[in-house]
Amino acid sequence: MAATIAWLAVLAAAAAVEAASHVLGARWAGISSVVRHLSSRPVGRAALLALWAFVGLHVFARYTLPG
Amino acid sequence: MTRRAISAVTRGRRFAPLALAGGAAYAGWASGVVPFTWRAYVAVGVPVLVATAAVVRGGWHGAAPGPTRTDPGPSWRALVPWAALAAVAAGLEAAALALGGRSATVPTLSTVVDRALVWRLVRFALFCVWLAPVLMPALRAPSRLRPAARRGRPEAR
Repeated sequence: MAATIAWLAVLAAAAAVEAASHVLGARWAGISSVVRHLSSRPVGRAALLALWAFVGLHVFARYTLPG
Repeated sequence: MTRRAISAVTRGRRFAPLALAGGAAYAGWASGVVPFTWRAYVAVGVPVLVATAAVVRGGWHGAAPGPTRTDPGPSWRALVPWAALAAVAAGLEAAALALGGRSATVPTLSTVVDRALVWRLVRFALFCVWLAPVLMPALRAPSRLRPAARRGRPEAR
């Protein structure tokens, strides 16, 4: 139970960091800034594509319903 | 704007609702597919193929401009919060996998997400979010027509 709460806290913290980046500007990088600079390089684009495909495959094609 | 540019933007705007509706319909179908079946792999594979083709062609909103003097990109200090979160997530995942990956007390991230995937509406919403990068080119004006946002490059004619 505690670990599940920890996971949810990590996700909430990520959302908070993203929101804070819009307030703090360049002091905290937002996801869009990181993705934009990663995608400016072919290796970065390939890595982002691979990560996106992995997430899709794992979440939508290979999920296991509890029960 | 030239007449050709106006025409292109108008075509883009007409295509956007169609792209959104198509994406939503696709997500609706994909969210109802049984996992670990060929349909599930096809549902994920088709957008992946489309995105791969776009990236290989150098598309996907057009290649983003690289670091410039006026926009060198995020500094290492600006990335500290994300690095800290990644470290915490990696630690939790490593602990869960060390316990066999099926522990009820320390679940992996996929186990936590799986609990939410029981509801089709959640699967539909998540699929729409996942599909967004593939649909975004259809929702934007052509990149070559985007003025002055491409730093350091002359406006396309």
